[in-house]
Amino acid sequence: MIPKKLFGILLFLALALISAQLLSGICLFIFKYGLSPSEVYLYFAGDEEKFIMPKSIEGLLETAVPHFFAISTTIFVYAHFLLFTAVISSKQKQFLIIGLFLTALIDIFSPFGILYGYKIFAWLKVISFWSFEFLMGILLYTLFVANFQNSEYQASE
Amino acid sequence: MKFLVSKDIHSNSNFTLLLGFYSLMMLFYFLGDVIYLLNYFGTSVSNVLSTLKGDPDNFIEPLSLLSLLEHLHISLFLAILALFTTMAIVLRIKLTHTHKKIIIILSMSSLLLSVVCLVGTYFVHIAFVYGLIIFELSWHLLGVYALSIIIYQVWIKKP
Repeated sequence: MIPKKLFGILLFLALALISAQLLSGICLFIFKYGLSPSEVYLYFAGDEEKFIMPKSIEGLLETAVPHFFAISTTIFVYAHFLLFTAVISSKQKQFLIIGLFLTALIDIFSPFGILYGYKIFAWLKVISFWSFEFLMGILLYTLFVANFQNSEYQASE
Repeated sequence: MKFLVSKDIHSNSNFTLLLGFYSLMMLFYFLGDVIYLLNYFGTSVSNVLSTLKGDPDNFIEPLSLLSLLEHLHISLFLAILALFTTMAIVLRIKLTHTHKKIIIILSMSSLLLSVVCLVGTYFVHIAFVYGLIIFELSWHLLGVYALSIIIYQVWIKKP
């Protein structure tokens, strides 16, 4: 049998670590692409006058492919703990899980649309990225709360 | 739905086989990561500092913020996944509660503090470099220690 308190400590530290990882992702997004959709568009589509080269399909795949693995694994590992909590309702859990995967998918696929000259995908990239981070924030906050409300948390045994 | 995996990891031979090989691969990850970090940052305090902050005397450029963030973003993800899964197994092996507690708290918080020290060395003060080296080594060593116990228990001497 898993000691509940020890499991709680492990989960708390894992949540703190993934929060730091998310923060590094946010910083990377801001420093690499910028905050506005026009900056994001410029980064991917390039600009001859400003001597910015457009990104290649290979370059986009190099980022997209590891992210398919990393984001899906992160959501799966952390969101599966939701199933053992009663902090939010079942409908809210469904909304959160669907929202996380959908925003992640749009975020990863958007640069390909930008590469073909569609500016709308720069907006989609920005909106989906911040929505994903916001939903991850909700997920982690929910798990933090559930972890502290020990009675509501059922460690898998 | 009925799952065949028992709560007791020692009672299912296929499960111990799986855990053993998983732990072995993870052991290579932990050891390989140490070698990678020594190669990336350098093998001494001065080398780590010149990688992060640059060294004008030797014409070494400081690490760019983007490179630092990329390194942090990727290595932290891998480290969390490796350490979290390893500690999840530690919870199920036969060790005293205190022993498990020490391994889990020390290793996970060392990883967290290594991130703090890396950012601290880059942005705040070079004194953080000592913390960076100590905590990086700590979580790697504790990971190796935990995995060695797991392999020993599932393959060599079943408790």
